[in-house]
Amino acid sequence: MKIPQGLSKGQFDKLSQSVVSKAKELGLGDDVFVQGSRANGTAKATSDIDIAIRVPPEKFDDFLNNQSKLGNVNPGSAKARTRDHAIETGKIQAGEAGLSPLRKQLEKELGMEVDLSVIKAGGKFDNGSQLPMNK
Amino acid sequence: MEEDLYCKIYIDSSCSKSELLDHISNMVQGKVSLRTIESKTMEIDVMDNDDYDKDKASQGDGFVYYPYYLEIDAVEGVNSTTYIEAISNMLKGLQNFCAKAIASCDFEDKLSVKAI
Repeated sequence: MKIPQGLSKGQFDKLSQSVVSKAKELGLGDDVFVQGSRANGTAKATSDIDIAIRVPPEKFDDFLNNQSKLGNVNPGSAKARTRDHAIETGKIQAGEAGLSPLRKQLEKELGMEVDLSVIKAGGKFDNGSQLPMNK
Repeated sequence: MEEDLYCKIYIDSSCSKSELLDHISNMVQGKVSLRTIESKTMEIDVMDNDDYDKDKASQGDGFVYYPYYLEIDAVEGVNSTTYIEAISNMLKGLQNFCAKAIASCDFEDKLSVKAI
């Protein structure tokens, strides 16, 4: 099993357990992985760790509309633009996904910056090296 | 329904993230831990925007491409009026710091400082 750069097996196991458990709790399934520099081995000491919860397009739309903080927006507002951008990029960031508490908990545990998001399968961010988390 | 006090503020500034962290923590008299600032009213995370695009950021509603954004949540038990006022003050402080700042939240129309 491959481990993200800079993490021990124990850290990766614990990280996997926390994120997969939360993804399941939110009905997002268990397709969770690390991507970016920590996955492809090019991270610097200060690099963050990028974690993605990948969902099918129909689930992405359902989550965006019914569970995320972007479900209800006023037309013309900055929040509406944020929602449009999430749809364009196929990525809902931690804050809008309600995942900030988990992201902050992981940052404390790992001592590094953590980016956590829900991404659409086949979308702009579904690319590059991906290290699946333990299920 | 309970008001959602989560707020994202997009920031366009040429300063570094650590300078931004210093400035914001001084503004809100907060304590810094990694990229999180905790004040009496709010918890603020200073984030690099993975979608940063200098060219797109300068177009019309291109603020979603600014280099930084803040994720802000109210501290438990804080009064919503006090919190919204604190967000307004922070927007004003950011704008005085030569930064463009745009708030994206449910209470955009309640902010006394208009985004620039």
